[in-house]
Amino acid sequence: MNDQVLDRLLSRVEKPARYIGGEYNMQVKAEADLRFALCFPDVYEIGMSHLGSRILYHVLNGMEGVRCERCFAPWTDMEQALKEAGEELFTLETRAPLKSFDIVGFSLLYEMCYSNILTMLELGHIPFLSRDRGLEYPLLVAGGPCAVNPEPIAPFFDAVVIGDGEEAEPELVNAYRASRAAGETKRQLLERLAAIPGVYVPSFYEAEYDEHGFKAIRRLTDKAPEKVTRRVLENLDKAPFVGRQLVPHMQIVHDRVALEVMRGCTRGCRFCQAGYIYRPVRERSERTLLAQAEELVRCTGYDEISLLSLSTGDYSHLHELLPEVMDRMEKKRVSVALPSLRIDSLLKDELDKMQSVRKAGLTFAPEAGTQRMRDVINKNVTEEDLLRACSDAFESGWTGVKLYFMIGLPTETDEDVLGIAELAKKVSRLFYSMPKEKRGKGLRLTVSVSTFVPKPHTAFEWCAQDEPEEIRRKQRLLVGAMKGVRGGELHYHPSFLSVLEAAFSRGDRRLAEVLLRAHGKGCRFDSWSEHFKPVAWQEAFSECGLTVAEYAHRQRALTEPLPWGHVDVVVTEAYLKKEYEKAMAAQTTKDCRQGCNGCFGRAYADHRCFA
Amino acid sequence: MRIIAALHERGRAAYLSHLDMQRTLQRALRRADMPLVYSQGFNPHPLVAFAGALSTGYESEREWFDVRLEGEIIPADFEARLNEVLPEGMAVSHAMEAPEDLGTLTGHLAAARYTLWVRPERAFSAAEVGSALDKLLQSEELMVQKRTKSGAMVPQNIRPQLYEARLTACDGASFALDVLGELTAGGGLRTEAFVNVLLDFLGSAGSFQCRREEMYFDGLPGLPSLGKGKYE
Repeated sequence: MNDQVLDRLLSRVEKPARYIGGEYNMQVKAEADLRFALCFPDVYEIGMSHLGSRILYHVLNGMEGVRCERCFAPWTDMEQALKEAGEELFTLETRAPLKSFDIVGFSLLYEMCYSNILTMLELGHIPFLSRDRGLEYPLLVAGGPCAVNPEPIAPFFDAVVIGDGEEAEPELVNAYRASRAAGETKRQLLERLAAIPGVYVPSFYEAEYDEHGFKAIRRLTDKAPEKVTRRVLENLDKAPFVGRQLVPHMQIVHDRVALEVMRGCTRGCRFCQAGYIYRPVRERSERTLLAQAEELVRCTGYDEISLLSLSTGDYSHLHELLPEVMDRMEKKRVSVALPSLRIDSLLKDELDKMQSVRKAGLTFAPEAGTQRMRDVINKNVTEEDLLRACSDAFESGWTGVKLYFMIGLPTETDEDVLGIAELAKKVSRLFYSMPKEKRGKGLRLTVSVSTFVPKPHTAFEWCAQDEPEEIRRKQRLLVGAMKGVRGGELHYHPSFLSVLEAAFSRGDRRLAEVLLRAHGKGCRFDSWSEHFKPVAWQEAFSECGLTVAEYAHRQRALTEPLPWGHVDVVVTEAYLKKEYEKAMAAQTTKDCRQGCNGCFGRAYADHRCFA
Repeated sequence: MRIIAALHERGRAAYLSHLDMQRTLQRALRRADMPLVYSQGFNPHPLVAFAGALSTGYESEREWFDVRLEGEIIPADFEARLNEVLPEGMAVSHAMEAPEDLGTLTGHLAAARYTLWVRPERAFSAAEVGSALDKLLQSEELMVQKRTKSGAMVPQNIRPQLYEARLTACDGASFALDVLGELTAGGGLRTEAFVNVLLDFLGSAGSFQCRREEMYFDGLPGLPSLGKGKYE
């Protein structure tokens, strides 16, 4: 695309900085025999905040002869401008059309972005279905957490990488090169890809259905494995990190240096998909982290660094790392953020230290309102933990606290729902019972309540999601109970989006047709309330002879075949069943750091958490 | 110490908003390891200030800015170190040490010169555009509709803010203008309003692109000014 065309398009959109590229640390390799378009099915400010994409950008551009460029979902104003001008979707680095790339790869972070994949393919003039694309089109691949159930999007992609991409993506790229050099057919190329551990080639499998729904998935060739096993990066400490992190011009959602402290979590919360699909825990050494922190701050100029992981408070050497990082960063006037601290790992000293750099809101996630409910989900946090953490925070001068909860959890009763308001009341009383000179002025207590979405490869993968009417009833119950909580503010959301998310997270291949129809009806940016079209989605389901309810609200039997059963995430099904049964009995499971719970079974017993 | 310098924003960098520019310059200063001075208070920020805001979509040859630094640095080094770490389309020039008691750039901003490339919907000859410009410059009043903060449209006379305008190129499909107008902290000549008045007068409509060529200040020795001893 030339400058004049781009100028015309940019003059018509609200945020032109989304489409210009040219950010500091952007890479444009002059010589490349393989061009990879790294796509994110949401807007720039969200996609640029994704750590996994940043890692892959660095890894792929680090390969000899490979040029990796970025492409994000254009906002609706740019989509319209492109269509009216008859222009194709382009990458930020060289403004080349998506269709001109050898490989086009999508990150799958959230099911409600699936419709945007189709928008991007349409604007890229690339046929939606794998079977309609010959080698004249780019190879279409995907990866990311949602890939652990690839079925709803399976017909669109030629290959899906399941698990860590740092090693699998380069192997995939090299297999593509070898196949191309040998002048192979697409079928032969796909066979090469299917031989890479962790790579799923959907067209080599066929799903069967009967009157009850999904029945089985059958392998069509012995070139593909019976089960695709998730790829696990063994050594995070030696793994590539983000290198020279890109520095966006416009403000993005996570606008800071992202330092990945560890991957995986040992807590075993039963609702949490990330907690299962990133096992085992792998940590970076303190030395590596300090060096990376300095390097990243130096090459970006950011004034904030975030120590990322699923539960940074659990990092083995936190007590040595944190004071050292804070000390070094303070000298450079860089503030340190700890985004996922658990209530029970919080320390007053650290709060005081953070306070000295910048005062932001504090967020805690008790997830449920009663101890029984927290035991069911294995959130091993007590009311005392929360109150002590809040008390520490208030004494350190914090006045803004945000509490995250879920409603609609398995076995939930009205008492559990009302328990959320009870807990909020106790936090509020705690604040106002403190002497005025010991605390800040007014409390801002935000209680954010989301709807539980059962996810595949968790202990709750068989569970029914509450129906929207029931969720609305529980929300009303909570609205009433939250009245009179001084300083309290309740946030909740209409629930149909969670219903769709539940359907797609545990969906089968028939949902690909639903997606195509929803796309045809104009569905895109579904997670943005101004674009969400619930009626169009309902119609799309019914035109396919399906209902959202059978996917979202049906309790599955533990013996039932599951559409994602051919994906082996390393945590065994037997372990998940045991966890499910313990949940139903409100029994907790200990943190893996206190001793192995045996989630990998015999086959992967060599995957050690703390090697 | 205090350094005053100019930043150019060319090509794609034109599409950054004023806030984006501030962020980008601050981060570049940090990458260059400049000993920035921070404000006191709750949320300390580096003392870096642009003379004015540039509309999103406009290029600029010189956006003047002012930085406070701890210790001493040779202006030429400041320039070189910063230019190594600025993103494409941006570079600093004209760096100079400024006395602490010199007024603020914003407070003394007076005028700016622009190049406008206008692409009307139908073609005009150089003579047609030239005579239209002459007529506009001869009139006492150039009324436009201005949208207020509340969204209401009110009439505004932009003639007092228009100092000079001349045609510099015309190839039929488009023409270029050299325009000098008022620019102060409180406002100034709105170039898009001026282009609309001109196109209206020609009986056409169209699109345009703009580049700020220079900013002028009143009473800041060493900086470009419109007064005697004109800046070159």
